[in-house]
Amino acid sequence: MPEKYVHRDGLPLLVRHTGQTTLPQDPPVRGSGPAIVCLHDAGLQGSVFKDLLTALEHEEGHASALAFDLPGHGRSGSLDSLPSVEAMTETARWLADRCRFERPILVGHGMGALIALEWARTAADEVAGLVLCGAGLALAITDEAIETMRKVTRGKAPRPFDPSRVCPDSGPDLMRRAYMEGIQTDPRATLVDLEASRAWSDHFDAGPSIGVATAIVCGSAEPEMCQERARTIARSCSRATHREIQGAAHFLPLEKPQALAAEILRLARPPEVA
Amino acid sequence: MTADGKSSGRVAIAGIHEYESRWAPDKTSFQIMGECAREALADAGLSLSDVDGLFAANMTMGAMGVVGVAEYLNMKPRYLDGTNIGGSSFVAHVAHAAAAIQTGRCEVALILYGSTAASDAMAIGTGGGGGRDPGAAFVSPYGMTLVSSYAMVARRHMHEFGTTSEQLADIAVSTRQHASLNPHAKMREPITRQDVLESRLIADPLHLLDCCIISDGGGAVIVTSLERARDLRQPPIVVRGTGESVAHREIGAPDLMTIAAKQSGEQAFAMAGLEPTDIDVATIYDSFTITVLLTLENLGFCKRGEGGAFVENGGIGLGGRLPVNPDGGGLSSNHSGMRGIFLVIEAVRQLRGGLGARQVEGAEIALAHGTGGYLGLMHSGATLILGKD
Repeated sequence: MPEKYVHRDGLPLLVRHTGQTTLPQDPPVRGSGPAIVCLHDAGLQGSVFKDLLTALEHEEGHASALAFDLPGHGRSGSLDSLPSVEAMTETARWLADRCRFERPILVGHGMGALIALEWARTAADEVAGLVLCGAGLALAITDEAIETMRKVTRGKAPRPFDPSRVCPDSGPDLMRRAYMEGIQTDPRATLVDLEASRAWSDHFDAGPSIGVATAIVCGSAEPEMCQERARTIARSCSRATHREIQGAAHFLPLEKPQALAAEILRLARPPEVA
Repeated sequence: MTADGKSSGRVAIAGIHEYESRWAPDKTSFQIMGECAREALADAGLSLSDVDGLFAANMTMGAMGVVGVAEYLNMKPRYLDGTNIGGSSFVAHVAHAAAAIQTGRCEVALILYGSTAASDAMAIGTGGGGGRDPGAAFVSPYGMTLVSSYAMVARRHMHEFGTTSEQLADIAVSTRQHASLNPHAKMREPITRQDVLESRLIADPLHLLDCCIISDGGGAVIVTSLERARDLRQPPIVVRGTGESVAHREIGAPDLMTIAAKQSGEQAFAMAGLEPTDIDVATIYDSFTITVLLTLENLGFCKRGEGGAFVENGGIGLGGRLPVNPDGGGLSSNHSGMRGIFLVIEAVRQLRGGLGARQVEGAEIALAHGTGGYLGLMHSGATLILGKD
């Protein structure tokens, strides 16, 4: 999977993309199909979408997809995360523009779903559609989760890993991959992510209206509370569909990349009206 | 140079640069070295064509080591030194450069280091103990890691002298206080003794905050003759004394409390004609808090077994009896695997002056000491004493 750094005000942002490798100063080459921008969860990075990008590349439809690491995450620069979902959205919009991914479908995982919603809320004409997964958890950040991460940043607790975020059917190898994805970003960035998600969620409860086509995708093994939160999001979107994918939980992009790719392409190619 | 002190003071450090970022995932270690070389040469008022001696090391260089650096920088130096004795290498490189300059083997030496340890997710402290030497076969199978070799020494110090975790914690607290004054430090939020004691136990008795951080980073140092340095852009910082040594298991049961710093420190002080009481500021390799405490004892800043009392309650803080690591050290500012070059750079910065809140007032003589390897097993020591011209 080609990778490249795109610099914003001197800050390197790592981008993974489908298609051929291009020169450092050139954007990825777009196919004739839909543009897809993947937005990662709190404390993770774009590598969580690696299998999804591969799946999209091999699907018919010539889709072009990219995933990037937000500042302070994965292999992007800065020791600090951006302080708010709004700031993350602004960075994502800048990056999509820089990579010439006009009017993309946004695939949001966890906190990435909040970024996608914020993008659709503030600049709906820039967005072709939303595919949101693991969104329920991002809307349910607890005081306990934030306090635990604060202890991690102070060296008073080990970095937590919740195995229930992976479906038990997924197997130990996938569990290990999920764990490894969770240790590649500085816990200080994760703490800011959680606080930013929490702040945005409080705002979301006021009920923003999202008009773009939206697919809410849940893993069947996600806790009921998270699934209920996801349905809340669906209710706030006037053109939302809700899908459940068997054998997956919160780490759906890792667990079922093919199924998620199918949902994305379904949104990109709505059935023709007879 | 010899250890008689007569050849001390003929060589100087004329340029320095420390890579500012602690996180450089888009760079290679060679890119970092290249950028540092450019900036250090600019600091000195020299160009790459002036350099005829090249010194470099890091943890990931290939078998050709410094030759690859020469190619990367498109240099053809007439003197090469790729000595790698662990984290102390760059302190030793200054001594080697001084010897080469005094014997006419080169005129301007460029010492380089670059590392992407953090962005490569390098697990330094939990690596197997003893490296790949034959003796490791008697250690590694029993689970000894790098951090546990230091922990073993800390536990021994506690057993022999009654040193406490609180005293070790005070080293981390002072160092973090210094880092809070350094805008480039990776960890800048002040901590308390209690914070250290409540942080996770990594290898008993060392807690997480007793351990150095892992960062990306790099640096460059320019060494030349004092005569030439006087014509350059920065005030020369004179090399007054140097020393090197090793310590190991001695095919038996060594005294864990006597480390390489004892021998290298005695050499350096003898060459400089100085005593520990003459030192205004010290930069001491702080891979772990115990490293600082034991190094201070072995360099003669306090008596054997009195390190705990020496460091506690801000003893090594700014305004304390001996300010140590005013840049925030490896415990809080940066540690990219081999920290020796930063010890030299901060010592030079302190002697040049003008560092604001973290400046040691009136600093005239500085000591830098690097430790490389495994404190409880085999390790190297390199000591450097620097002074104003």
